[in-house]
Amino acid sequence: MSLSTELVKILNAVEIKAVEADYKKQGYHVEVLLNKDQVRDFSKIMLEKEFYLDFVTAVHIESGFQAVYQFGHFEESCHVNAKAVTKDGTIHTICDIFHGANWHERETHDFYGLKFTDHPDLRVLILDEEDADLNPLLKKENKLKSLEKITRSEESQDKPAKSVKNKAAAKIREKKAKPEVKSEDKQDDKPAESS
Amino acid sequence: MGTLTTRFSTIQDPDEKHKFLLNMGPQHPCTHGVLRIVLEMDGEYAMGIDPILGYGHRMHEKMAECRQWSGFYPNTGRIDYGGAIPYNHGYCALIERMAGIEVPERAEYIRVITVELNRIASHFLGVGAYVIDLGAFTPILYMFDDREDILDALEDITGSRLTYCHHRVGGVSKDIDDLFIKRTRAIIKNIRSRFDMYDRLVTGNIIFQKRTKDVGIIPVEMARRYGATGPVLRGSGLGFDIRKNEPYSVYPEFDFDIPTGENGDAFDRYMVRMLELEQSLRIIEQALDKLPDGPVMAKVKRVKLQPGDCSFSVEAARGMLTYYLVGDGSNVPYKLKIRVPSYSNLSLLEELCKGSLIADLVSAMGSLDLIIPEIDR
Amino acid sequence: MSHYFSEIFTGGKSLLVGLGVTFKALTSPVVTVQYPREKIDISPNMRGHIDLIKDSESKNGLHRCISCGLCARNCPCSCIVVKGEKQEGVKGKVLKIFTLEFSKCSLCGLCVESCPTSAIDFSDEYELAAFSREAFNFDLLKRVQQGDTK
Ligand code: SF4
Ligand code: SF4
Repeated sequence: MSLSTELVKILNAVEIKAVEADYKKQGYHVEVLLNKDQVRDFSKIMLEKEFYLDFVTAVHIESGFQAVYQFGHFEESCHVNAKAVTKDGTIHTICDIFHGANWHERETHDFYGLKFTDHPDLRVLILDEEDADLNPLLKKENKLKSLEKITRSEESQDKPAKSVKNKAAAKIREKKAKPEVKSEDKQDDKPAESS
Repeated sequence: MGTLTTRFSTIQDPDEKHKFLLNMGPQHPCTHGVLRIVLEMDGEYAMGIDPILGYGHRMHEKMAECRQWSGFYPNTGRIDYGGAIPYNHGYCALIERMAGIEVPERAEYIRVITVELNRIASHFLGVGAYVIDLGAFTPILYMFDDREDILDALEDITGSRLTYCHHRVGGVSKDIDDLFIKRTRAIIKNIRSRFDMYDRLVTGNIIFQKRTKDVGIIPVEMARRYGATGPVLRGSGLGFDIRKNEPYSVYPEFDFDIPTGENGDAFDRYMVRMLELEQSLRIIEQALDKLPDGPVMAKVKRVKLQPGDCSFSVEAARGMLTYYLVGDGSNVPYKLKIRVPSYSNLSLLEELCKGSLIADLVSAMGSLDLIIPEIDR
Repeated sequence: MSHYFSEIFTGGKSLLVGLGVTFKALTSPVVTVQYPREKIDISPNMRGHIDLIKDSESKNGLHRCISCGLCARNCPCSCIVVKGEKQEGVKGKVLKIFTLEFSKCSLCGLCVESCPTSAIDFSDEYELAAFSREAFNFDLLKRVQQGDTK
């Protein structure tokens, strides 16, 4: 039994939602969806199973934050990606279990203002102290997306594909009508022009 | 800039009068860039270590969220200036994985060749600078001589010498020619012939050995808790390498070993880097022999980043590099996280050097081969 | 005690071995170049700032740019400005402005690759130093008109 299958079984036994992922497409073997309060139990299992911490980060979404934890294994090829949604901007620290998480959590706190409760030392790490409240990776209201929009699902894979076509066609029409090209009005949602 | 408070407040306890704070960096030569470390000293011993980062911070992750994915190419070459091509490779491979793009075989071979050449150049830089930290000035000149040849060869195909931007989604931007192949073979021969000299000059030197052996010992278990990878981990005796563990690109087709150390001290980490040079040479040689013909660029239509996340790990010169991207259906990444190896490698410094002599701290820190702009991003 | 002396002996020996390498280098040929009095050939593929290629066989007898603006749009650093104008009796657009703000350019090569007519390429100039930022605002159209390009 491969490590990823075994891990999914272990996690499911303690009521943590885990599924095997498509490595070719996603780049990790196991996807774990955590509740906010399962983070510590989950990381203890990971330490027991001799995983190492890849990184900790967060994604800013409409309803709050999605904390992302990625683990890897030194002996076997197994990457585990765990996500936990937190609505109130706090989540429990795991830095007493994985000591490397200390800096990753401090960095996430710098960039997002996400509070890791019981973290021993949540000073700014990368930013300047004057900019401690800057939280540069927080998105503006109009750029924020809901969790569904950034999660992989069968329908969401079909739908944008269609709208892409329409959008691209609209762009071409637009271009024909208005041949003037200005370099200044760079927009974010322009289609990529690959050579 | 405001005053930066450290974890150590001024020492007031009368019993602790002999303790003092020492500020190392941000201009200290052994910090290889702008890293500041506040040390709480007890005589010559560092009892508390608090690295303060961020002097070279450029917020690459925000830049990625503000432009099309293709606009992030030049940034990838500027995160780690020592070994930039693996960063190119990782980013392109990530987008390819997300969009399901197949890369022509010749392009993959060229990628491997350039990545390995860059790894050698990076190890020369890292080892040379390390030896300077320990007081020997001569070896870096020889190493830079060899590195210069590699940079010249890389300049010939990538157009740059340090901040490369050569790999593209779907292939590489420039094909290699016979001249480059001939030149690379000559470089391989030349570097091989110099290994013996490096042994006499550095490895066998008694001062070097005394300053590195049994200094900064990292047990595997500690590396695991901190997520240390690369030569730092391999020096502790665990042969973890993403090129073997989760093979990507055309690495499975090459025959190479993963050198490991035994004790996990600074000397072993140095040794692992020197042995890796030979392995990289072997990979390049095989790749040049097997180099297939064909195009170097796949036809890439407009790439949209599908909703969902995706990660890609490559073995950069200093350890495992992971790109993690969240797409939202547009062509602007919703989030891009860059997990840089030096970041995790440095975070174990405090546990590693607590209570050691300051001279040993310099030796242990140099052996981690840090690139500070990579840590600050 | 004997350990003490043997250590001195091995230490001295390793120093002599290292010095031997240095002495050998003393007699080997010189590898340094006395820049700027001497210069080495640079690779033709080196990326300098971009330039319009002079092409006397093209339609306007000077360059191949059709003012499509793809290069400006693909540039991640927004350092190219292209403006073309319609003119009586000429098919397509006539290039009026083509400037490069080189201080922002990251030499990524996306503009060169995206050009449908291969009108731009990297120059091989590397001795670029100036006292002001404005010195790096190149007017590439003027350069090609004056024949400064390769
Ligand atoms: S090389 Fe890159 S940054 Fe420079 S002008 Fe071209 S596209 Fe812009
Ligand atoms: S892409 Fe080429 S043809 Fe189009 S504006 Fe730029 S230089 Fe001119």
